[in-house]
Amino acid sequence: MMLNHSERLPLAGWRFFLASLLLIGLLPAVAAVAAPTADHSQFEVLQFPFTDIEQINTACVACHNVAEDQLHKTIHWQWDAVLENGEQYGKLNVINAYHPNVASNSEACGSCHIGFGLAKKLTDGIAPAAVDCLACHDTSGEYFYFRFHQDGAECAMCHDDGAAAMKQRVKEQGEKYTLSLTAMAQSTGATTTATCGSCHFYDGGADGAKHGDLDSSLIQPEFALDVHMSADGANFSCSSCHQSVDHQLFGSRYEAHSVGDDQGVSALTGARATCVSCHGDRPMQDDKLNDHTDVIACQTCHIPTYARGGVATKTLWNWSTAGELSRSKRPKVELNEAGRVSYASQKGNMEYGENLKPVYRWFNGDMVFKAPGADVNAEGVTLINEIQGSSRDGISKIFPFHQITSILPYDTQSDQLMPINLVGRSRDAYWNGYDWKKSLKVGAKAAGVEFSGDFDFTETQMSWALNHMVAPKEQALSCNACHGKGSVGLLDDVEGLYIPGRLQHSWLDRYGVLALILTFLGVAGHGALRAYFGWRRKQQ
Amino acid sequence: MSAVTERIYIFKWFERFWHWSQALLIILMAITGFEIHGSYSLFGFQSAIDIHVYSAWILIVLWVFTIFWHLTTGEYKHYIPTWQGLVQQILYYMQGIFTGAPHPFHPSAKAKHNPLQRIAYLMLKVMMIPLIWASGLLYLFYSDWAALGLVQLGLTLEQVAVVHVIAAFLLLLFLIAHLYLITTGATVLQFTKAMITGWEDVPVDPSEQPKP
Repeated sequence: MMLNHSERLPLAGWRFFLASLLLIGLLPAVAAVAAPTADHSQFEVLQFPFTDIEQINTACVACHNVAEDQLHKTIHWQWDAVLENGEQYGKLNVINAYHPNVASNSEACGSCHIGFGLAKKLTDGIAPAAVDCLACHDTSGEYFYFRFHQDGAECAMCHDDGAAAMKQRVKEQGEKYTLSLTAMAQSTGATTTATCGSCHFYDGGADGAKHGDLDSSLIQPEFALDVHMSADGANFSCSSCHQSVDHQLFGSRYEAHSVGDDQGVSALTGARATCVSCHGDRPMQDDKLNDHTDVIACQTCHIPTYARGGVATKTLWNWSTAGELSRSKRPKVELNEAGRVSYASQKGNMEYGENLKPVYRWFNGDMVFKAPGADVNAEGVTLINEIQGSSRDGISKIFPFHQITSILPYDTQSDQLMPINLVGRSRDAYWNGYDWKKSLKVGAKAAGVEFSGDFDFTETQMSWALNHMVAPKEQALSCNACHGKGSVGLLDDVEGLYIPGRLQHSWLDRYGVLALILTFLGVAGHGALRAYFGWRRKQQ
Repeated sequence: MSAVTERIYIFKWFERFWHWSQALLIILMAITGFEIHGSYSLFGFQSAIDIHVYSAWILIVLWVFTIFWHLTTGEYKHYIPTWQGLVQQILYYMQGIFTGAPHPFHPSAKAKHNPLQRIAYLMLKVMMIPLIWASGLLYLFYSDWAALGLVQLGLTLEQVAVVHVIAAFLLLLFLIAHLYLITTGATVLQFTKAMITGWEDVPVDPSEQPKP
């Protein structure tokens, strides 16, 4: 039916009125998430006793027929990111301080990849294939359990303790993950903090191990932990800030837009996951505080400490002590007082921290990552990634970082960090044979790096920009954190800073006080002579 | 000494108000200023900044009135340096003051300050105070430097802060000397009383003394 213009308007008005009424009524219920327009539990294609997670995917793409194409173009599929400056980053190409590289470990890494397993050889990238939709779109929070356990992930990938602690919990509390795949398929929906977190909270070998500002405590956080994600705050999920266009998500750490962003968000330029996108660059009530935002990033004051949610993050990983087996020649696990793994034969010694104070550095948004075979710094600590920026470039701001120290194997002939072949059925896999030489040989070959056969361990350090766990303003750093005699001097080791109140010119105070003392002695001497002569005159 | 004296009105009410409120504000700003500088912890950095900045604005207002007062009443003439009597004044402080010689200078409505005072106060008004004002205002408006084109000139907060602190030390030196020199009247409190009441007893010039 065609309506002419004059008829359409009043109708639109009515609809608007009714929709508004409905919206106002629903407002308390919907909060941040719009109601979906499809109820997956009613779809015929999902009324099926799924036994295999790949079957679900086939059902999804029957309707969502371009979703896979979209995903194949994203970093979540490719693990490969070509930056504007030409650098080729992404998990596939760079090393980290935890399980240092993908190359030879593709089988195990496949458990986190959003497809169904990875090819053994990944040097030419990850080819398009079926995408595991539920990895991100499960709303039950149980899917990742099935996924990792059915997909044959190495226990130690996610559980530092080889799942010993988890087995104990199941024994005490019973099986937690009981939903059927069909129930999960029928409850698909938008991503949640839990779905994103099933990978991003548990990377680095345990809950919260890697990032420091991302762990399972963010799934239902207190207001004091994260003002954005708490139900008492903005009640955000990850995707509230990390919005997507065609499944491409914003806010990759390979391209930090936070630094140069001094504009509010524009609907025309797409989403940007930065503080300034929503808050602007002068959001505070005190103008003197606002005056700081040209050089101090929001995160610096508003994430005063991290790993605050009761989940510790790793601060040290010493691979050099790995391989010590129990008397029965089996891998062993030692726990610290807090019940965290302090030693595992598979990984070596580990240390953790909670409520950690960040380190602060100038950051211009460029983070230099390195490829397998990176040169070792003979002078001292080798940096796994390098924070770019300085006080003088006019762009950089001071940002907070989490740093982890890792003791990694390197080739003593070529002075290059060596990739580790961790997993697989062969005895060349370190978690199987506990033989460094064999493991490094296979790891190096897979990554295309030469290995001489002579190796040792060296201290490395990796830095992670902190962006999450934004605290309530009452807990933000105050003036006294950096300024004044009573301050703890938080930014004292940041180069190129003049911080009022930190006594940075000892010569000035030395000569100033000297001048004051001399003047005082001068007038005191003059006064004493005056008094003396006056007294003598009286005597005469 | 039994010289004939007369009471003359030297410091007018505005002048006294200006002097004492300025003294109070400057001392308060010195106390908070050196806390901001990091010399000690007293009010806490944030409160120290607040007190310092509010005091600064009050003092600016006071100064606007004072400059107006100086110009309209001709009081600025008391600060024009002179050679006349300068050497005698210096010699007096070096020698006469110990031997009990009479003061070479007596204030009058025409000249309230001795030649050394004129120079000292002029230095205070045209050098130290402008120095601390200029550096202080730059400090206060640090965030507007880019808009004012000052960043491009290579000016840094550090330079401004150093100048501000140097000026603060100079003012403290002035304060110490000033506090001492006001005790050098006929009695220790003579000059202080004059600055409180406005009236000072000055010896009458014999040539102008009424014949008995």
